[in-house]
Amino acid sequence: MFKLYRYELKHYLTDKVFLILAVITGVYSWFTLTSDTILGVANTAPFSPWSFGGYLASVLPFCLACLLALTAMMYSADAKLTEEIAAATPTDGRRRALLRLGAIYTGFILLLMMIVVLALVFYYRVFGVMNVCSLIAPLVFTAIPSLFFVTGFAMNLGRINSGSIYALMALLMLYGLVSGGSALPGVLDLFGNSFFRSFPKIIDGVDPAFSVPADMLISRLVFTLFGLLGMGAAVSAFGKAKRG
Amino acid sequence: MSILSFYRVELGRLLRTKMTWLIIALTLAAGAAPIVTGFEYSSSTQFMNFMGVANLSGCAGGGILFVLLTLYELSKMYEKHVDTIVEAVADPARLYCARVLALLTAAVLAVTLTVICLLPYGLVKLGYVFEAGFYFSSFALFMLCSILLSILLSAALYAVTRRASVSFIVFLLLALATTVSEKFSDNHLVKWLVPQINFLSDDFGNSIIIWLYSYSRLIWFFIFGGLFALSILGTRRYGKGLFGSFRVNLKHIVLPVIAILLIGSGVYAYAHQPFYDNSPPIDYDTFYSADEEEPTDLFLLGTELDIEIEAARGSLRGTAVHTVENRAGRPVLSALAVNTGYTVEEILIDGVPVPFVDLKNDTVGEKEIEFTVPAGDGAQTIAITYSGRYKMWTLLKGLGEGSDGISARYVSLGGRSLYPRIYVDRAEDVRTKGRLTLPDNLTPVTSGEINTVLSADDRAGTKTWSMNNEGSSMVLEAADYVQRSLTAAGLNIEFYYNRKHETVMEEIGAAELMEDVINFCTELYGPLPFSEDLPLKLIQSTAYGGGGYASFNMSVMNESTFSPENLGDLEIGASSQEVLAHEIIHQWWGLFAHCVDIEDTWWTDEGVTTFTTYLFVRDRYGEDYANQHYVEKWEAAVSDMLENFYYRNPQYLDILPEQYVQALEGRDWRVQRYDMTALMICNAGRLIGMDNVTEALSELYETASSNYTYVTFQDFLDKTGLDREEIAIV
Repeated sequence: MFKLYRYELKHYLTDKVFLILAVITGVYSWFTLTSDTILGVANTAPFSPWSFGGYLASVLPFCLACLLALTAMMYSADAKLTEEIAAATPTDGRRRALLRLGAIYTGFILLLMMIVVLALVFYYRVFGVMNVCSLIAPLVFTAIPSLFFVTGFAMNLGRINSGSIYALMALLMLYGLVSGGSALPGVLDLFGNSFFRSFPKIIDGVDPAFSVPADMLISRLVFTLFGLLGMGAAVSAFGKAKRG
Repeated sequence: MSILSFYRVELGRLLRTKMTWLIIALTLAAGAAPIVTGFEYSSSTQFMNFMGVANLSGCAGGGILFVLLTLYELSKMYEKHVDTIVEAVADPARLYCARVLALLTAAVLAVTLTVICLLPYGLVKLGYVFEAGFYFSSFALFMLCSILLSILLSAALYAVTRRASVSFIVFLLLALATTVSEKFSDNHLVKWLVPQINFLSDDFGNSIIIWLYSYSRLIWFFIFGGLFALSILGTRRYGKGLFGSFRVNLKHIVLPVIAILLIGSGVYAYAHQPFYDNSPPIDYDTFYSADEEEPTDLFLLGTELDIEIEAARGSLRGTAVHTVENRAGRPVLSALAVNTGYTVEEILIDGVPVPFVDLKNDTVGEKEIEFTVPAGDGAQTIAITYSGRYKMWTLLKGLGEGSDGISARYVSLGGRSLYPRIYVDRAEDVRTKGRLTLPDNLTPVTSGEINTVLSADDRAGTKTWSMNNEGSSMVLEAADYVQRSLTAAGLNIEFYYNRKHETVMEEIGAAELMEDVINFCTELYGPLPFSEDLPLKLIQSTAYGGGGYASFNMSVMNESTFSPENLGDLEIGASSQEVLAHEIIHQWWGLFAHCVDIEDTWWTDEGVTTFTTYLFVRDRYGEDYANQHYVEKWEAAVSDMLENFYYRNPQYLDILPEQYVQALEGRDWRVQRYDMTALMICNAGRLIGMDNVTEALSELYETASSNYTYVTFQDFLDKTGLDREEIAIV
């Protein structure tokens, strides 16, 4: 099974699409750091957990668009042809789907690591600050729910029509754009963009410590749960496809 | 088959697919979405609330939707593996061009349908404000061009990468970076997908923003057109890759030449844009402090102007004759300052041409021309002939476009933009007067006496008006104005508002509100020294003006101030009537009495004027309302400034790019001059009683206006008997 995982990993990560997108994501992240994050969000320091969260919320739609590009490969015409051959082998369709998902997630984690490392390099070079621990909470708060939710949604969409994943990509980017302007209620703000930009201002004192109110926390859990359910449904559909 | 034959086939095929019609329908929905959902820009104009938001939404939505269609259409042949069959009978480059042309045609169809579908709503909603010409041209310039540019870029990206996902993400990167990034927040010329339209004028035309975006579109059509031409070279041939195909396609030498020419033209057009000057950033610490000009030994005796404005072309031509006296007894090296877009053609001193040098040293929106005034006894005339197109001060990029300048339906010129001003020591009893020729649809309002028609040229469609002002400056506002005479507190007032706004102006009772403000300030500070010949002029200006301004006997307020929503709805809050009252109050604080302090440079007329606006609102609507909409707003702005990371840690400002430092300093200066000063005066009122503070301001005004002295912050402290520490915020 590990061999298959390695094969899937090689298939996705050495694909030209992934490599080009990784470079583009890196460029965009650096651009965001040097043009937007450098000002800080909600009057906090550019290297505060809030500004880091704001940076992640700006870059994540992009990062998730890369994930969707890989997910679209999973449902492409070529992949469907390959799946017909693979279905003839004595391997479980759900396991194959999970392996692919694992490979895609590995790609996403690598991208995420790249944007975090870029932020750390930026903070160190510009401000002489390197406080990794304070950045973990906003990273988990922002990345995990959106990752699961978007994957679950995209996989089910891909089952219906692989082209619609590109439409989701566009929606995701537009959503990221709108959420930055605080136009959405906090609980519907998937990336937490408006949350990072407004919540620190209603906490007493300057440079408040990172904290999340209960309603936001619940909404993150709901996003995660929906995502996991969606992924479960999509993965089990692979099994049904084989049995059919 | 030629490209045209392919195009006919492709267009027919495209218009028969469901996907195309789905994208067209969604594009229409994107344009209509803000209207259907009732989304509105608050405190703005009807054009902005309807055409502005529909265009912005249509640009973003339509652009992205057509990119999806483009990538779908271009990749379909390769996804379905029929490319080898199709390309065996059709030249792939020609087929590619024909497909893109068909997609561009579909975009034109989508925008046309959007325009037609929104038209009935626009006619009903906008009523008398509706202008068919602007309605159609705005959709063509904004929404259509955004979609066409998106198609060209995405097609070029796909032709090179052959990956729909990569092309789409690169497209989004290029679109979003220029749309939302702080780096480009004030640059209209790079907003190729979603224009940065903050205002649209209902009454005064939108020529300047139209010119700006027409130019921006031209730049991007050049660049993306060039990229598209290059991408044709990337059309795959004989199963070769990108570079192999590129080499094969290079036999069409005309394509790379066209591509280089187009991209080069775009870059050149961007670098040599004609709208903004090259003024360096300003130093806020010295800019707003009282600067003492060095004596020049030249004394001004008067200025005679003869100016002709070609509004439709955005240009003017004129002669300014300054009468001066050289009291140095020797030749004096002098200079004059003029708008950076104008060219001085000739300088005659007592009728004799003199050499001059254009220093091209753009600073705060003007440049200097250096020349020598010979020694002479008595008065000498310096006649300066100049002409050109007005250029905007680059600091106002993203903020002030459309507020100043010359356009077909609105002219606003002041400072060195109306005529070249010579550096002299002003003499007493100086007058600036002359003639102003304008298209006959424009009525001028200049500082000083009422303008009268001197002559009319029906054939040329122009009228020549008189100008006459006390002092050495002149400000001009011109539009299709209706003039209405009012009286308040014994003061003669001439109210100028756009003819298009005439009915609304009567309905909303704007004149009554202005009379209220004048009565209030007259009671508080005393009457203004105007007469029948020299009335107070209240003027409606374009929405691009942001707020307004006051100069000599003119108070200018932007058109949003006079919208029924603003003047009729108290819940809108401070923004609604603040501008109107604020600019009238400047007649007292700012024109007849001045707050200046070399030590406390934030202490200016703006703070006292803002506070007086609060007093007026408090008197009219009660303390709770005034506190909620004024004091709380000041507190929030001051708190936001004080809590900002860079304000608390100025040592980090050194690492910020200059552009951001300027933006932060500019914001802090505004907060300090308006909100913080008003809040400090309010704090004084809390300590010693608002009536006592009002009385202190009234006495300070009386002293300063009658003795021509400045009111300093220390004067205010002395008068109120308070210590600096008791009310100081920083």
